[in-house]
Amino acid sequence: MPRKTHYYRFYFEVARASFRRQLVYRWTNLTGLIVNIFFGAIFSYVMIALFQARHDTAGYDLRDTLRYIWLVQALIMVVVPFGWTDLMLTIRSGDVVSDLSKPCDFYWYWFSREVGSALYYFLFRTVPIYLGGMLLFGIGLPGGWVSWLGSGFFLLIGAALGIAFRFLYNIIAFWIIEARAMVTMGQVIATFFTGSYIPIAFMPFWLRSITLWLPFNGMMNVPTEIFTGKLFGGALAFEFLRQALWLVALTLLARGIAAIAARRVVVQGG
Amino acid sequence: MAAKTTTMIETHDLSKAFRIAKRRPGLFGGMRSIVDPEMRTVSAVRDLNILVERGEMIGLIGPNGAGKSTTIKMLTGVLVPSSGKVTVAGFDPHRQRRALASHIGVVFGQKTQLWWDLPLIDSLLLLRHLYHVPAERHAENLAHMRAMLDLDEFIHTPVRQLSLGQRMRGDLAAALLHDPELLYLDEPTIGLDVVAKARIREFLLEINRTRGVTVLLTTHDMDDVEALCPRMMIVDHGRKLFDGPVTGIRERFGGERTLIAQIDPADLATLPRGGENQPIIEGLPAGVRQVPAESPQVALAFTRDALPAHELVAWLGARIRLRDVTFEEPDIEDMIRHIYEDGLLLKEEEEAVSVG
Ligand SMILES: Nc1ncnc2c1ncn2[C@@H]1O[C@H](COP(=O)(O)OP(=O)(O)O)[C@@H](O)[C@H]1O
Ligand SMILES: [Mg+2]
Repeated sequence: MPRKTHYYRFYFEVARASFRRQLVYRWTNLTGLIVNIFFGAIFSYVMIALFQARHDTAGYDLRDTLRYIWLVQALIMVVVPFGWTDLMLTIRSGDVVSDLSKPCDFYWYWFSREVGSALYYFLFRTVPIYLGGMLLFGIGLPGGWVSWLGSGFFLLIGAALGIAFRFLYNIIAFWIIEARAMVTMGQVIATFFTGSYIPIAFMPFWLRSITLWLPFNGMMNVPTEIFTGKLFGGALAFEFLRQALWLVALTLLARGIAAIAARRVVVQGG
Repeated sequence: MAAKTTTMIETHDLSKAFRIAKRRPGLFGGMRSIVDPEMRTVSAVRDLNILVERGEMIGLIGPNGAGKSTTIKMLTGVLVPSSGKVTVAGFDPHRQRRALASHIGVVFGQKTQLWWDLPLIDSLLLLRHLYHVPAERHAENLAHMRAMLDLDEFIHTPVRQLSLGQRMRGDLAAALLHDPELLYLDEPTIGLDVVAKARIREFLLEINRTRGVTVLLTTHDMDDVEALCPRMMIVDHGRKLFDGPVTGIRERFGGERTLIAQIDPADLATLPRGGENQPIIEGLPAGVRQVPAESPQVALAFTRDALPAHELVAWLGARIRLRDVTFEEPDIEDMIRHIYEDGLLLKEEEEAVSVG
């Protein structure tokens, strides 16, 4: 059927449009970039001070820790962008009704949009921020092609997990009037459990044991640890299994809830 | 493919009731409402029977809250009816929404399906992939729309920078690029200035005539209907009050028109004053009454059968010097009040049976 190729083309074009849409907000993005670099620098100085007393924490030396810090700043907008309320706002305004009535899949439509902006953030945040870390703190680049390939692949999974998660805490707006509070909560939970405040490796044992099983672990910690060479071999295969299952589960959940929301719109008119 | 019949839209006793939670007053009431909500039912559309033929241009008119948008939503399939039957272009809109989508175009006056931050052209190009339109067909349609709607002057401008009228033109193009046979417009002229309204109306007439697109539009503006539609339906509180030709509609249901006269200041001083210091015109002809207006204006409401408009102007002009006169036509709210008050509904229902 020649139509099938067309079918995927739409999602590709949505991602492209979303990428271009980000290009419009040059100045906002530049400010964000500066803020990320600023935080990277602050955290780096704190860690340098800490490491003067102590030389190895949870198998991380100073350089590993600095790389981790800069990778977090570099990846955060790709995986868990701050204040993402795009979907929630369409629910508020009622525009969601026209999106739901489009002859395309609602979830994959939003997924494609987010893939487009994730790609933007990768090019215009991740790369320059990490370069900033290299220039300011000499964090360098890991050597092995395995860590490049592995972290690249797991970053794709991480980004997809992040999209499913933010879709979920936005779509709650169909049922809860104070959806903004949910967005804030979703944001805080994600930021904490992805290891953006405290590296997961530094968490107390009991907390780490829980966190490693959560999907947030796959969003940022796994690609980062592969990049810095902390995660390899059999452990990698295990992480793949764990996070691939999460990805399937969250995607199914997101699509399921989207279907319930669509039914609600169809009966109650939004 | 649906069979090509001559019927485009057919509904039978189409109804929609919304159930909404009512809040009890006070703190305890509020808490009780959470666990044990008291539900209230709003009948947005009641027993609506619509029959629209292919190629028709039909206006659905009614005041705010009449159920126009709810009706459109049921006709597109985004809202499931509470009861009744509906067929659009041979499809059951709710069950076959995806299939129907490529046969219809929809424009909601207060919403846009265009990408806010991107140039208009980007949204128009993206739509080709949403509806799987062959490239040549899409290019042809786009060229046609660009010419008819004069899109070229702003097609590379981000949508958020467009005026309301320009955005509406963009949205019309977006709704028509996939060659729909049926176009729904929900309040397409709302908020537009006179020039923009005229342009949109001209365009709608054109696509209806040259492309044979069936158009169903809702409005609360009588002028839209008079300019565009040979046939109209009046709805109020979810019920159809009238279904028939537009010509002569104001004469039949029009109620009172209003003459607004700008009085010469010298003569204004000579007029007696009533409540709130309003100038009073004395000895008005039968069927004419004075209604409040802002000085130096005087407003006279009169029925069509009382006397012709020019006679009223002549009558007034013989008594005081007039700077300027304008007429205000009754709006849809006036007409509906008139329909109820004079029991026109019953008479028309009999007529509607013989028409439809
Ligand atoms: N989603 C909804 N939930 C509850 N009530 C609704 C909903 N949508 C519309 N209504 C009610 O239904 C009635 C008709 O609304 P609508 O179709 O929007 O009217 P119109 O478009 O003619 O202004 C109104 O009383 C409105 O408050
Ligand atoms: Mg409406």
